[in-house]
Amino acid sequence: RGLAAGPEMHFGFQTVTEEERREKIYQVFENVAKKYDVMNDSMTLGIHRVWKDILMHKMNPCPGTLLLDVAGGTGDIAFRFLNYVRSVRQRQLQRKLKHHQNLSWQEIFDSYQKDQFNSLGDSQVVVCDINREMLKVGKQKAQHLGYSEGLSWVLGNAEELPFDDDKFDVYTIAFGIRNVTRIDLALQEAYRVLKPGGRFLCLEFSHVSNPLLSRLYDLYSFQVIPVLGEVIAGDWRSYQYLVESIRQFPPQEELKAMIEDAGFFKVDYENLNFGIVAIHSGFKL
Amino acid sequence: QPPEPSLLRFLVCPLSKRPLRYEEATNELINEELGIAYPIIDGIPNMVPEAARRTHRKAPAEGSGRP
Repeated sequence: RGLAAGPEMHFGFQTVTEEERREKIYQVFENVAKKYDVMNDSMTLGIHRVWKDILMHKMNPCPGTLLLDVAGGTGDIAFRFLNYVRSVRQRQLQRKLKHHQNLSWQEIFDSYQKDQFNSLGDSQVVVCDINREMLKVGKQKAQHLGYSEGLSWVLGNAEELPFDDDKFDVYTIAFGIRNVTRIDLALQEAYRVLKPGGRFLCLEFSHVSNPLLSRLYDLYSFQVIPVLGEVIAGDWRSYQYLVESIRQFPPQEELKAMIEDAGFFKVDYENLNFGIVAIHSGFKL
Repeated sequence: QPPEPSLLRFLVCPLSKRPLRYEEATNELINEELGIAYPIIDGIPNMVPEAARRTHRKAPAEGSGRP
């Protein structure tokens, strides 16, 4: 892999070498990083937030979970994870306190002290992304929103992760796997770094089988999105790539097979919005 | 900026998957076996082979890892 004149690959609807594809994709995200969140809201009319919430509910992490969020650049999944485990932890603590009916006011006061009950329950998320600009935006957002505990950032390649075997409880990749050049390698790496019993979750644009909806979706994608890209981010081409890359990405069943090839069991997928988006899940057993 | 201490527990060399040593002086993560060092920039470890530098004094011309 990585030859100067290598095998032909697609970059959207263009045909490029593997090396060119990596570079072009890096450029796309370098260009869109600062406007990434705004564009997501505009293009999906805010619905991407619901998709990500659904992903989190499906994961249903308990406090103490160790999450690796790959291609997690601007932190959307990571922040949701921290919110989720924090609220689960809150409820755990409330239930605990309810059983201690004879506490003195001093004891009750102490129980609300910040770290005494470990507000995250030792949950941790590592955000790994290959793009420096996306990570920068993510880190800034985290500071701005007040996230610090249980969160760390790493610049790394999904195809060659800098993590040891059997380390994480959950691996997520949301709207990222489409941009990976060697998906098979990324899936193998996902399998490697997960603990036995660990879960793989992938949220990604997929294929709409309903013909009428498919036509409307195509119309919206190719007529509206690149225009939005130009108007909001001043970058038509990056959004043209984005839309094309969705069409080039394997459909639900094919991705399911690829995940199974990597060794995952009980692989399944759930369509959201008629297949515009799908969540694939698998377990390392 | 130094890295998160908890992060150091998880990180290994992406090439060899072997443990790394944190060098405070240069703020790098060192793989002694391969003789390479990954930089930490703005508190974010840069764990791609292209970013690593050779730690031997006479640095050879060839790069490390993937082209």
